[in-house]
Amino acid sequence: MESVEAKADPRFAWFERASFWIAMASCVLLLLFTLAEIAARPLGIQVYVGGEYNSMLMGWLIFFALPVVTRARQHLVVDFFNAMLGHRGRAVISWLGALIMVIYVAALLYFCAKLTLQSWNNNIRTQGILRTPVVWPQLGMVLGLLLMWISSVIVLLGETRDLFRAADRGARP
Amino acid sequence: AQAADYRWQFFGMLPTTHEFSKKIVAGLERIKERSGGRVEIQYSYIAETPYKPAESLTLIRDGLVQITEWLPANGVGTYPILAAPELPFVAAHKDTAANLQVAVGRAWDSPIVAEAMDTVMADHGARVLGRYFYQPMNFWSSKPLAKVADFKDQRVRVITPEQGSLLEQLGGTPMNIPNTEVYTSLQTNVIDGVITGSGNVKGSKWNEVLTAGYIANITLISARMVISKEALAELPDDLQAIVVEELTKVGEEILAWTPESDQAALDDLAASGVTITQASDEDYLKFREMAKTKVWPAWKERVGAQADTILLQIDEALAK
Amino acid sequence: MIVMLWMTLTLLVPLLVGIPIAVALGGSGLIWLIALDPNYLRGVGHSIWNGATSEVLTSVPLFILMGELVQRSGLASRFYDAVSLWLRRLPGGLFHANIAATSVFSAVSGSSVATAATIGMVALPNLERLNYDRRMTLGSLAAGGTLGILIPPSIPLIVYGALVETSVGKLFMAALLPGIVMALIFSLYIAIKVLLRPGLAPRATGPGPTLAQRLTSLGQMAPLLLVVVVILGGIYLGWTTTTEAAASGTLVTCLMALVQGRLRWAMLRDSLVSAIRFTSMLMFVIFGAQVFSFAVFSWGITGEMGRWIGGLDYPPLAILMIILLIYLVLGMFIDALSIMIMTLSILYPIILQLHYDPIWFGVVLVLLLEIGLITPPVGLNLYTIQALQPGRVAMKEVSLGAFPFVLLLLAGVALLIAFPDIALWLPRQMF
Ligand code: NA
Ligand code: NA
Repeated sequence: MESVEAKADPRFAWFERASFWIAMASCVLLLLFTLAEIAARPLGIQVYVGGEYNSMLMGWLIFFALPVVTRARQHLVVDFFNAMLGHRGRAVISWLGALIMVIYVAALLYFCAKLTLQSWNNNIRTQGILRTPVVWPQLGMVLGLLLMWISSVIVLLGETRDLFRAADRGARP
Repeated sequence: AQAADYRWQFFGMLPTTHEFSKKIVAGLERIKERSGGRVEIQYSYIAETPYKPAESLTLIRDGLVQITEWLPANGVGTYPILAAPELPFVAAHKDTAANLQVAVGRAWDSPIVAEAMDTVMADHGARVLGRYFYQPMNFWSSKPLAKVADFKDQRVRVITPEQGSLLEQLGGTPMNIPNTEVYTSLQTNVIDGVITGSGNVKGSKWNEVLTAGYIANITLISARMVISKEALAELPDDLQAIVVEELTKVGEEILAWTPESDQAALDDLAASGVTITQASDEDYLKFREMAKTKVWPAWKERVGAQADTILLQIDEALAK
Repeated sequence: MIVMLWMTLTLLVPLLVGIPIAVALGGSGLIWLIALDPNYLRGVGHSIWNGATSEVLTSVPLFILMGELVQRSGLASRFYDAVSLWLRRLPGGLFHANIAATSVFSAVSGSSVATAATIGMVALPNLERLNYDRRMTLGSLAAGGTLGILIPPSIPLIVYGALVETSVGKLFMAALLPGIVMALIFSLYIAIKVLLRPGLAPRATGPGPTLAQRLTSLGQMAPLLLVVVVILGGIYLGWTTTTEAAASGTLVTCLMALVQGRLRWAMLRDSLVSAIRFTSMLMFVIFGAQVFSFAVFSWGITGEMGRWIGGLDYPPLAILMIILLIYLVLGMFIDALSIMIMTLSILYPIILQLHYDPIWFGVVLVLLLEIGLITPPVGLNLYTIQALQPGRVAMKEVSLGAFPFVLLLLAGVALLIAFPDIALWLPRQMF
């Protein structure tokens, strides 16, 4: 895990920051719900939010942070062999990675949106104790993926620019 | 070997080591044999697939699996009527697993519940090939558990809201623990007890960390073996007959096996050092009154106007 | 079998040329699903959703958050200073402080890199000033850091538990003793090495610490030890579930920082940002792996592999050795968590088929991942230690320093294979 500069990063668009705020709020709530559950136990009160709400918050935490992770290009990469390629080779691979990311995220977005629509149509509820309609947390998943897709498109545009620049440099003697 | 004409999937709710699964796998084997290898059905434990148990009917509808087990208990969030025959202490008197199976079977066939089930199946393009039950749900604990007063201050893992409010009525604390963590939680006393069937106590080896079982036969959880109508229709008539015949037979085998196995499991558990206490008829009635006045109302509220009629029909069916 | 080889190939090629791991996994998974039957693509949504909402994994962000807070609030660095006061006079002196501090920090941190970075940051300048052998300094810090994923809490063990559906609580119990054994082996090695070659570590000279100093140092150790007690007590004595232990540890860390006047908003925010980014990044890889293993499952490979291995004539140990070798080679090039996430769907059924205990294998696997963290060319702990003194340390020097510890970790694996009870004894005793 690398240490991350948390200062407001000018690279991020407003929607990426807003989305990350939701992720942060989800994480704080996750912590508070868990603590509430521990505190309530000696009092003989069972706060059921733990299991179910926490796993939903976990979903929001992940999906709403993905736009920033994508934009900051923090996705894990095996870069050992890549480093042996030349400057242009790396630029091409990097562009290719960004392109495939756009397609892949679009596919995920499509499948997850379809699942969410199904949950809505069938009024699907969680299997656990609270029997919450799953469509709400799933909407978070879809929204997060949508924003992530936009971020990945922005990254791809940047990569395309870099690729042309690399080509220019290569063309010059 | 020659490739099969029809390669199907069966998603089951239990690992292949469980007796239910063994009976199913044997049935699938017979289908392969009788069809001359033309129908080959692979059994997969649902936990090995990317799906959750509650999703199994949707998988049938979406054509992602041809045959699956489905537990109404997993779908009651979406279909509250289907919770009725499995409400805690729904039977008027404490009864043996065998008698309870027959009675609860009739409750499932009572008019409103049966109609609700038919609608759910029709909506998913599914056909029921078998209905069977797990061993009756009972209380298990690592602390002494021999009378109603013992439930006070026990921390018990529950998996439904009905179990939760029942526990609260008994003065205990309902706990919410993922299934994989139950053993460790019992071991380290994060929880004192669980509500489950004798077969699951043995199968999950929870008896290693439990010392007492309190047998009141709270409720019978049922399963359905369900086939996709569309998939079935693709088979030639002779193969359809083989599949339906063999799987229906499997369902009947499991139905007959459960009560015997419950008694055997209880004997085994007692032999392994778990103190088994049978709830008295009076205590059962105490539990039932508690459930009726404090637990059932929340269910009635979710179901709405029909709830009382449903309960009346179930009472009649059970009493036959 | 041929399908499986092709699947592996379509995964490895994009992976190795540098396509993001998550996309390489998920993308090739999607392609194989389409190749089988496009209808299966409908399962992808379920696969992602069920992966994202795993109850077990909710402890991951909380444990990372806690580790970040312990590091940023200075609890760890003061613990190091205090512990070095006590261990200075042993043969090997501050090298033992490295191992002791990394072990204790490991008991609050789930990540090896965080452990190496946190302790390395305080230890490196100290050891350098006192003229300790450079190679040994770098090696002991990089290797000590790997204990972070062995001594519970451990992110890889949580992920393993979630992926193979086994109890994280049990895994944590099983890993504790091997963790302590490994720390002792490291220390023993250092002591012997320094006795043979006294030039590696300077002898402590001058008067020992005064009683007052010793007492003060105990006070400095107390806050971190309290956090450790809350977590380990939570897990082993049954005060809390795993996720709850993470939450209560986070709370106690904040309180300790508050008491010491070290609690800052910026620190809280930075820790939160770090924890969330890491979790999100990790889970995106897990999603990819879930799509890939869904494809593996749909092609019926899981079952086929099992039958194939079951029919093999080799003894189980030979097959286990091949699996270990695969992990060692992958560990040279790919980061620990990604390896585990990628390989489990194929290799885990084999382990079951061979009747190895899933809890035991989880611990062995983590030892192998630890080795990967300190083997070149790609070893995150090597990078971390190197990055603490940018431009002044060569990768080669860190790698050479860490190499003896690679052998010690391998010895640890051998010990676990010979005596599985080192891992399995404790989980059995806890009643
Ligand atoms: Na750790
Ligand atoms: Na490595």
